[in-house]
Amino acid sequence: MSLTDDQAMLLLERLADRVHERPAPVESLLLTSRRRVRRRHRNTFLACAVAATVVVGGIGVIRWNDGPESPPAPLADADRDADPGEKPVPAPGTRYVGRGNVVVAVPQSWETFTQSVCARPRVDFVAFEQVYTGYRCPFIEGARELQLTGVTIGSTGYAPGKESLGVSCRTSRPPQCGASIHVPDGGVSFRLEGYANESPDLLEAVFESVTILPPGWTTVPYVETENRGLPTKRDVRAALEAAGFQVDVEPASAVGTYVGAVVGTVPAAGEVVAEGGTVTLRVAVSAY
Amino acid sequence: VRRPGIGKDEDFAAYVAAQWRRLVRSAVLLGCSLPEAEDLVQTALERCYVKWPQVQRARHRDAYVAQVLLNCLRQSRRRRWWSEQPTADLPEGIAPDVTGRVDDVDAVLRALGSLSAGQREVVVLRYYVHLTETQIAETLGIAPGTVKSRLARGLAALSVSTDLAEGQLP
Repeated sequence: MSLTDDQAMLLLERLADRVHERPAPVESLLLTSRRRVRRRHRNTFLACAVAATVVVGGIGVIRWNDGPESPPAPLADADRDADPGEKPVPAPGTRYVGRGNVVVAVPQSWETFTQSVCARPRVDFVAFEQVYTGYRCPFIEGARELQLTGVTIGSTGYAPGKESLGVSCRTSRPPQCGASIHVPDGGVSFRLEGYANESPDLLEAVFESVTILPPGWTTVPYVETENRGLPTKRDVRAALEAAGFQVDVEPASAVGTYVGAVVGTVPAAGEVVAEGGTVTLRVAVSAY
Repeated sequence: VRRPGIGKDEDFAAYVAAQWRRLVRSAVLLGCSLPEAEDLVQTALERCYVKWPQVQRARHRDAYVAQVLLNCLRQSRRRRWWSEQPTADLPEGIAPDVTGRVDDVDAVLRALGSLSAGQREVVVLRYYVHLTETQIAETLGIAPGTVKSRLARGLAALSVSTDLAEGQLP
């Protein structure tokens, strides 16, 4: 025999009474909600700014393809003629990292990871989504005690105009905070997270620093490999040249890796560089 | 209904204070863990705040908020790995021992676990949020007949639940 309406109501009330939720966080909800409103307004501005940049780029493409007799100039050559203006400078003590022409300012001390990282890094960090797999890795003993803050850079699947998420914290001690910034028109997402006591303010500062680079400036792309290991010189050179950069090579130690692997770039992946500028590959050549 | 003389923040704060418990418990009944439920309700209420004048103008405010809550729940099931990740594994230093709470919530989830997602939504909205069948149909975007059939099947499934057979039946 099925339950009656009254029985069902009483049952759910009884079951719900076994849930012991925390008190209503009225004040913190008001604070985070007001932030959300402010960001909603700012994102409208951001979307317009990125859209304007895209339109300007589109005009350039049309001009290059104007004459059928003259093939489009390579991106690097075309951009070398342009004066990119002064390099954008973040606040003192911070550096810009990002993807494409969208960056955030992070503390100078945050290390950038371009190699596969399993579980949470042990220092405050910047990582690319292709290498940061913390949520999918097995638990590593001791990782929970780490007081880490970091930003993960990735592409976004959000549609243009989608609002970004604000910083939210839980009332644990120390507070556990996280935020995702989506800049759909720039195709970028930043995932911020932190466990330190100061992380709400720190993450808020990073969140507020989202910047669209001026024309002529971009970021060094992260070159992904299939196995998440170190990419080879050929992989990285091809990707960077396809993106319009000039590529130089300098030798580096092969300790801990294999000869021919690219152990890093100068500037590093995610850092600001002039469009069509030079990126130096640090290629492992010897263990000594 | 807009209340004259009461500002947006005051009205929102009053609503949160009054409805927080019921919303969190609704989310648990819908299948969330307790940390997930609290985060979900917080997210839903933040979204509601952005459009609070619309919430105030809504014919049934609780139905409007329930709809936002369900949307958040569905999005949270789809979101990518870098999105918000509610977790019970918080850092050391959390004051209360939540072991008993987890056991309680597990019992709730077991009792409703035999229902499909659709049945569970209509059962919770009807018998815990106390929306009418018409309001549920509007909230979920389904036909009133579908609400009736899901309710009937949901109640039938609940009535044969093992947990209910263990003394929970009123």
